[in-house]
Amino acid sequence: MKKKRKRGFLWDLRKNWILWLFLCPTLIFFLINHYLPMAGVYMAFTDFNFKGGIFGSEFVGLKNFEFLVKGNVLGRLTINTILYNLVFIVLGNIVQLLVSIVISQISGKRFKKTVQTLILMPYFVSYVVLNVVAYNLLSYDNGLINNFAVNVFGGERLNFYTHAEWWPFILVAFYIWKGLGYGSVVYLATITGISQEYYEAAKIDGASTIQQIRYITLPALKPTCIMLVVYSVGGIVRGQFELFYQLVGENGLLYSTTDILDTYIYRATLNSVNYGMTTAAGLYQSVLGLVIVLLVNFMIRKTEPEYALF
Amino acid sequence: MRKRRKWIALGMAAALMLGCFAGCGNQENDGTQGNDKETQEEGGEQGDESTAPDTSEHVDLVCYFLGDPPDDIQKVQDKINEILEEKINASITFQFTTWTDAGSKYSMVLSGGENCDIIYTAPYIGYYDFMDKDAFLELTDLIDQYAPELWDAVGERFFEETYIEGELYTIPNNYTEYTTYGISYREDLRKKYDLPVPDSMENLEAYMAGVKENEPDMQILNPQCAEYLVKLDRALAYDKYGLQIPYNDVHDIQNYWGSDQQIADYKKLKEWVDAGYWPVDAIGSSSQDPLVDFESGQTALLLGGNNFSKYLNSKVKMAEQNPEWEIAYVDNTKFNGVTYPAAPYHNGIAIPTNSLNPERAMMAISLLYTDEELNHLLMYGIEGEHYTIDENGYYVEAENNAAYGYEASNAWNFRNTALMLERSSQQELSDYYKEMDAVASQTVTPYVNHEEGFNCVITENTVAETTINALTQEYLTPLEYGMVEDIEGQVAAFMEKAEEVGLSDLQDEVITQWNEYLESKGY
Repeated sequence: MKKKRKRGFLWDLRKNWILWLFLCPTLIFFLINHYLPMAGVYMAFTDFNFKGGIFGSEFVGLKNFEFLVKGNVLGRLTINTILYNLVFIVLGNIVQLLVSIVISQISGKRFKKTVQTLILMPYFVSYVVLNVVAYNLLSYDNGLINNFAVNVFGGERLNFYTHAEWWPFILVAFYIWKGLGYGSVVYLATITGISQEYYEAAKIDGASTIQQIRYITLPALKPTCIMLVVYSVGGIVRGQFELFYQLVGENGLLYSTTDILDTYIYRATLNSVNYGMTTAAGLYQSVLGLVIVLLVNFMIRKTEPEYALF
Repeated sequence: MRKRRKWIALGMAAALMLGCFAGCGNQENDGTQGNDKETQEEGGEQGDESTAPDTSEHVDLVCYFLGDPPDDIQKVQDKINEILEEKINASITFQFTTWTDAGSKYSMVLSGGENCDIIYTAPYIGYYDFMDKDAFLELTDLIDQYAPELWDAVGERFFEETYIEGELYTIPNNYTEYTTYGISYREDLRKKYDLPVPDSMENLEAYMAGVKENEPDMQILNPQCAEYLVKLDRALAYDKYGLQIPYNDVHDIQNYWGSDQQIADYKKLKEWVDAGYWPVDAIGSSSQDPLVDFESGQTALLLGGNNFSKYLNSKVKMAEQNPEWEIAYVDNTKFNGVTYPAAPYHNGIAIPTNSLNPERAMMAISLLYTDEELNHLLMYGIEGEHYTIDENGYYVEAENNAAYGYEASNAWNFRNTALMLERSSQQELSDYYKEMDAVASQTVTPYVNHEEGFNCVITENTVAETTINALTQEYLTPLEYGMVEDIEGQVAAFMEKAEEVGLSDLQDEVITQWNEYLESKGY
């Protein structure tokens, strides 16, 4: 047997140079926007001043992390952030999956397009507008829900903005509603890619629609689903700041159930010039996020090795 | 066919690459400017002080203002540059933070996110904090060397007040204005329902109750104003981190947080909500802006950041849009008898530490401040197009005024009394200032503005400061909106948390600095 020639990086570069060229923009992008700024995390350990800049400022060790630990908020905030994101990811993906399957089963072409457009629209609505939508739904005096409850069912008005216990549901509902259309497009694309031959064969064997979905569509969607979930896990410690900021805002009465890392950091450091502290908070989120990604990937590699990221 | 496909692929890759580098254009620019600075510095050394500053290399300056730019800023900028090019071989670009998120944009500019050579400063946008972190250059030498005429143009007195421990970080301006709070209210409603002028706490409450009674659907005020309203009868020299120091007795430091006074204030606010002066859930709507609400007739009363000059603006605007509405103004002196002018550095001009051309920036500042043509261009736009000057020397709006109105560039820090154009309507303003002058001269410490003069920067208890910032919003903001039933309980819970994270240490640090401040100024 002939000994395999050693094929180094240069050989690969020569052979697949066009592919490498394609990769270049992404590499450069990541280098400039994600790797170079990493040096800036040093700021988390300094008392930043403008003259010294990032590396010339006084080193203060872990002092900038203190504000996260003080007042025993870190645990609550981290758990809130992760739980919210977990619900967003799991529930979000399930709903998107279901909707994309339903859409794929719709036969009328025009109806299908209309449904798709309608559910995609909220994705393009900014969170500021979302606040207006939410306020018009939930407001005490003129909100749609309150008016409906009073005029149709003769119930009593409810002040949503003083009841923290309802807000997890409200936030999840709005988030899923907003991301539904965009998320289901990905699944829909995968479904369209499944060869019709499988379905025809199944039909000949007498499989019902439910059975077709159960045994053909869902298994085919599994890789996409796992990949999307694993990717979103990376951001699980980063809260959906805009969503919480716009819907909850300054309303301290709701913070017991809606305060996440991002909103707390914003609130604490807004009125002072504290680059060190904000960087420290960001670093904490990044490190925790990295640990979680490694953990999840490890678990996937144990059970379904072919789906693991690395 | 295959070959063609390959070329298409290659083309796409190239396009992607180009897109990637498109964003880097600015950075390359930075590089050349950096070199420019070096050569300039060298030139300066060789040139010595005897010769004129070297302006042989052309430079581009960036000047930042707060807020939103007027429509014709580009046009005016071109005109200004024509003159600047000729005089100091430099061109200037005016940038604006926009009002949305002005604070974070401002801090971003200073932290080196963008080129900036000249920047607006004000105590309310963190002047002392940024100064403490060395964000601005010390200016004495720069002025001496490149713009000595500024000392006289602004006036020695104003500079003296701006110096802190022998150092100067911002250039003050010599326009004295009174910006203490006051109430704008709907005079037509007052007349219609025969209500008292809201010039005392009693009359104010009677006015609000009267409007509510006759116009049940009207919101009386935006809740963001309410907190100011409830405190209007107190003249405070300091009011932060739970400490209140009365203007009339600066040595009497009072604990506000947890006090009966605080609880009484929140009860009053709750009373107002229950009376329907604003919606119980107003906090949930982010689209509320007190000024917009008032000017559009949604509310009957405006306070909080409202002062006489803003009232005049509202008056003009509302008279145009709804001539049947009439508004009037009551200043805070009616309630608490104290007023004081804005400090000279209330609007200041600074050069950021990371400026690439501080020398040329200083020359440009000087020209924009002292040269009549340049100053007028910046403040009022192009004569004949945006404004004209009548026979009495008053500023008159011209046809295209909407595109560049009076001081529309927000360059309040370039106000020069020697060059300033007055509007005929400004008579009212100067009369008001005279009136305030009389009051200010009679206070315990005449004309002193503690609010802006006390440069408190927390350095020891930064952790307590940030945690308490967060706690304040969580516990106290809902109280300010009158949303909480159990007021005592909420305040007690807040106090417990705040003490836990070191409120008293933080207050001690403020008190120490306050006493040092009083001592240094001899109050």
